[in-house]
Amino acid sequence: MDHPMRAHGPTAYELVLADYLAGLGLVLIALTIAAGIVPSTLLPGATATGGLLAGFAAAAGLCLIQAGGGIRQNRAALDLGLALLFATGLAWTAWAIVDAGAVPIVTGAALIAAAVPVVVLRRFAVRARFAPRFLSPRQLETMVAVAETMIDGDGREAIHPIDVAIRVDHLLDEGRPEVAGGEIKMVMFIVEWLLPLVIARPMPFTTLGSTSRRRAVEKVIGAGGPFRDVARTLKVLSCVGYYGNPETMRALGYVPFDERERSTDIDQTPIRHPDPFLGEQAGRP
Amino acid sequence: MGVVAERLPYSRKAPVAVERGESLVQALGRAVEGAGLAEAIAARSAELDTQPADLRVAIKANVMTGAGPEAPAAAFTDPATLDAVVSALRHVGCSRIALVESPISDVAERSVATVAERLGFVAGTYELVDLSLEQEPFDYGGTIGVDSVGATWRDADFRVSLAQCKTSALLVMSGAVANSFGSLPRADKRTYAKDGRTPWEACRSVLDALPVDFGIIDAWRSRDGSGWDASSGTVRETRAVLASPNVFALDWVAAELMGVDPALSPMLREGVLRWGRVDISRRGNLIAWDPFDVPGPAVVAAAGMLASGPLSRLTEGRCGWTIQ
Repeated sequence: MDHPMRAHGPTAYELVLADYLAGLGLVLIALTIAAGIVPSTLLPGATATGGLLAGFAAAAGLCLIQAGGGIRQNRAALDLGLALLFATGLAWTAWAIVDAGAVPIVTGAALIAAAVPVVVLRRFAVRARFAPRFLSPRQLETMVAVAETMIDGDGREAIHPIDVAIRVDHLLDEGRPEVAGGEIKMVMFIVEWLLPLVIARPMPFTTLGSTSRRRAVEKVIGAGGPFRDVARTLKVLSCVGYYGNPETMRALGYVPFDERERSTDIDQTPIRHPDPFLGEQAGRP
Repeated sequence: MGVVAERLPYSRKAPVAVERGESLVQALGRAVEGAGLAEAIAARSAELDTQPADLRVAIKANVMTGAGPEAPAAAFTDPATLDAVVSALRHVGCSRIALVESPISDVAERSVATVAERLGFVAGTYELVDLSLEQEPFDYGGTIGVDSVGATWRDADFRVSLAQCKTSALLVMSGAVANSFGSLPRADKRTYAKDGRTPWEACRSVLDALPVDFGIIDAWRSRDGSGWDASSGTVRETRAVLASPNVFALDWVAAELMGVDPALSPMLREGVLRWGRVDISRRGNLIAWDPFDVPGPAVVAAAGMLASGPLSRLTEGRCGWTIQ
């Protein structure tokens, strides 16, 4: 069977993560049911607050099951489920420690431990999918979202936003990252965590839908202060990644000079002009 | 993808020939002919303004994976296959041919000459070179940077990757691309997979710095297995030989024949990301083999984390983590 060359197909880590999330979600729901049946054993306290805690575990489970259905498409569900799982595990453990209950302590610790493979697998999955050289996995995901927002060709884009982001990452790595690398990473951080706040969406930029992302970017384009620099950086990065790609150049009809018919047999030795001020003395000691 | 990548052979459209026959020699002869070995040699000779007889040809084969009495069958190059490849090269005019290999620290036997002799490789029509004995500094770029290179591999005018057809816990399948990892002369190959770097990035760096001109996969007897290393698998009588001037396209087709989605292999995914999508012209007998028993996603994911993460110490002394 012929397989088309897909650059962005699922990785082994993503397949494992999806299965793990689906399984973990079911376990969390089962835990909530069990806590309802024997609250005094499993919950740190057989009270309404304890029930609420179990409810959070179930909510985390539902989110993770949803995420397991497609970790790329349901990224928000994964973020929310993971946050809920961590928070519930921490609250469960802390409360159990205060009330000195062995089983609830173990249960709470297990909830936290169960979240660790999700974080690890997700990190490896992003690395395997994009193989970033300069940006961190999270920053590269942000760059993909930025490219998706800035290069809005309504499906007629010459290359995928992921290719744009990877090109930017490679260029930053091959260039002189020490010059502006720190600032660019800072911009990625601001975009991911602070930019959504300008449209009152307290969530990561990568979790936003395309319309909300565009609204956020449009707001900062017209803004002054430091956000103007952020907008400029986003534009430069997107344009370099998109128009600097050979596939885009070809799609636009650009042919490098060396590949043009009329370049054949042309002497391309640079013409040396005398310096207008120093004349023929230019360059001599 | 990149401008630099477009100059590399792995980004070019290439034929991949899959041939079966009455004998290995017959199948190999047809495969290299179908893949254009003669044309590739002629083109390289013209490029260097020399004759095929003066081309320095280096063949990287799987020799050291056959080290030790417990070495699994069909996981290393059969001397008869190498002889057939050498004959094919001589048939197109080449005469300066070297078989190159480097030691692996995770196997007890470190001497390439000793292992080659035990396996039955007889130098005569070719020279046997242990790359670790002729190390010189070299800047590979990529994730390797400045390291050492075997002079014969570096100076070769025409490089050939002669690989076995086998599964791999790390890569799902290991072919001609992964085989080039063994051209790194240092025995401790783990060095290239530390600090978040991966073996496939190292492999790609090697191929970018020292391009392989032709690839052959000996699938006369293949090895499958879903376990950690090759010893857990079985020998498959697939009776085929694959060849191509593009090793990346070659491995892609080999994975297809094994019944594997090539995109699941981290090595081939790295290739797609770095070298772009390639148009493959498939030729010959393309009927897929009975699906191989391949490592599942959980094994590949675990192996990937163990190979380059903080848990890599757990695999020390075990050859299964390596990729060639």
